[in-house]
Amino acid sequence: MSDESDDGTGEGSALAVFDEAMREQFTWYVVAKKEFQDAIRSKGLWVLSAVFTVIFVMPVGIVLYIGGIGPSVDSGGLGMRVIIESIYLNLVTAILPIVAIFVGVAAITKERSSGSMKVLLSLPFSRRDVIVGKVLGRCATVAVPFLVAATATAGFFMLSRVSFNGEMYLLFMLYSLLLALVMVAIAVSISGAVSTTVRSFLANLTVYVYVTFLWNSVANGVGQVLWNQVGVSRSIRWNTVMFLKLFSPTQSYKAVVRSMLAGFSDSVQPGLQRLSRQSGEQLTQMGAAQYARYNLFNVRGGFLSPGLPAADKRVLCENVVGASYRNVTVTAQNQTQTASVCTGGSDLPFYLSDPAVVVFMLSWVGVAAAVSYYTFDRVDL
Amino acid sequence: MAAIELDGVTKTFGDVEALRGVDMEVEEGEIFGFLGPNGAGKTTTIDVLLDFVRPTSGSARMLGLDVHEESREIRKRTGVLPEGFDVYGRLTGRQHFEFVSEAKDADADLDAVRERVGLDAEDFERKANGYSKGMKQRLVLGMALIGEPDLLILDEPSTGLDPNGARRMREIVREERERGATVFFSSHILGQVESVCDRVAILEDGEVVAVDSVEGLREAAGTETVFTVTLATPVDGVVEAAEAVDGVEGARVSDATVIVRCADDVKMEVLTAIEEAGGDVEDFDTDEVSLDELFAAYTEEEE
Repeated sequence: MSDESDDGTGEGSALAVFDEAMREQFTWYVVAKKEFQDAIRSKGLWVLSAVFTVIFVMPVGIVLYIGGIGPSVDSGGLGMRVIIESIYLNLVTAILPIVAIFVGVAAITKERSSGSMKVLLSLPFSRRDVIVGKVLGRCATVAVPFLVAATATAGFFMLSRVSFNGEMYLLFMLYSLLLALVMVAIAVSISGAVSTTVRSFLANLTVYVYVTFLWNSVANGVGQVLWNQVGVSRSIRWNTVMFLKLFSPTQSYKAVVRSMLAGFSDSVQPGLQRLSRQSGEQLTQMGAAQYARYNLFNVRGGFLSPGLPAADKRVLCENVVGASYRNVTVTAQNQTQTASVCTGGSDLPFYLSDPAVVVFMLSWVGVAAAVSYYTFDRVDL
Repeated sequence: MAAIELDGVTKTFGDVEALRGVDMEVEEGEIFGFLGPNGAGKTTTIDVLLDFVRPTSGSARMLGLDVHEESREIRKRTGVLPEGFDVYGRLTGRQHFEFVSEAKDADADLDAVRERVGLDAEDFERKANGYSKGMKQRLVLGMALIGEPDLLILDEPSTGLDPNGARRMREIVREERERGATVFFSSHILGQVESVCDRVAILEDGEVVAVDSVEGLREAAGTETVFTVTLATPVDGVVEAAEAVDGVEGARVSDATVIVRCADDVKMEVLTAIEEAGGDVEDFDTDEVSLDELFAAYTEEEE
């Protein structure tokens, strides 16, 4: 508690120049800086760093020390792709929203109830500056433990027998920080919309449960109603469900990260080459984004579910992601089977492309801004 | 141009009327006291000026600018010591000053401001969560002074200050006026306002009941004398007896002391009346009317 580190003034001149420029350019910058200075001294943050690091390092640590569990094939960065896609993607979407709530839930309500908001708004900041500054300042605060954990994890990756692809890893971190921005913006805007921290917590929890656990069911439910009650075509049904899915911040995050990951490997669709050999047909790979969108749905069937019916898969493949659905005859071990597979066809429609999905994701920042504009901006303090 | 203009400002919270048509004008370069008991609406009025709450009707301007539309511009040129504030516990005193300095783009000598408000150099480098109420008050007063604002708004500035601190506060208020700033401050402790203010307004129940110079108010209240009579023991009925005397504005009692506001030439009659009512007069004293008395006069008239 007693140590007094000097920050800001008199440090490296590059930092000072940056500081000066930011202050001149953005009215929210001073708020963001104060938020960061304040939060970086919170012990909770350092506990968070430790927790983050442990959770992040664990999966790759297991690969490193208990060799048998990890994937043995490691050509073209496939090992890292598989680990990120099957473990880290779910880890981030489960943890980041909780962390965002943790840092954002009391961002505004606490200052309102303690009275420091009066000091803050006595200074020449608009209420929008306060919200934007809080979102960005607290995002920077989340970035610190996140980067600590990420750096440690990168170290473990390099030590493991999974070959480390720095560019892939960096992009994954970048998209994850973007998700953090979106989630913190949502949490802070909720904090500005209600009058007490308890209400903010309840509202944040509701949003979290809805986004994380119910969103997909609701999206699929809407599709079902459209199909059964309204009687729309299969194409309209699945296009609607796709759109609804992609408007979830975590689903859109998963969608872009999956295309990014697929783009790094030699074969976007693992196993397609084998199928090509076994059937003797020329099967082309789907585009990375196409593959990622198609796999947002339960197309393979899983542990307890049979997966989507073939008719629906065909529509998803051809009418939604613009690929081509092929039935092939496979001969292996003297047995002949027919298999169907979605393969490369024409292009993914632009409204499902990566840039479009990033826009869907960032639209949540717009939603958060609108919430603040109609609540915190107008309320009597 | 007036530093502060309030024109028919009303504010209703639910079905509570906090402000019921406040009209007031504060001139540039004056020290203006804003008086009233707790709950009269002083803080709500200041909240309207700072755009913390939006008035139900009426308009308010500061430094010639609309308090809502041009709030940011106003707050660049205004220093504020709000009521019921808190500071950032994890930041040091210096970081608080730096924060304001950067927010207002001011090039202030922070240590000079610190000294002016009487904050220890050592405390200044400490985190503010260990500050006492008085230290927090000094800290935020210092924050208000940074950047030489054209207008200072101080809501109950003496709260939590010891007598020395309160005196320092009054000195600072005078210094700021001499620099050319307008000072607007509210208080419910009238004694502290009397010696500094050029003019005062009295707010009662959401309405301004008087605006005048301190002398002017005394005259307006029509009372020139406060006559303090000390009795040996408290006696019932002395107030009524004193009030029955012609020329007495009002009287009240606290313990064995009777305070009578009256014209100068009826003092002897008052003494007689008190003695006749059974009071054993030990001592009496004549004083010029204090704002306390004045204030009582105004609020009684309202009833």
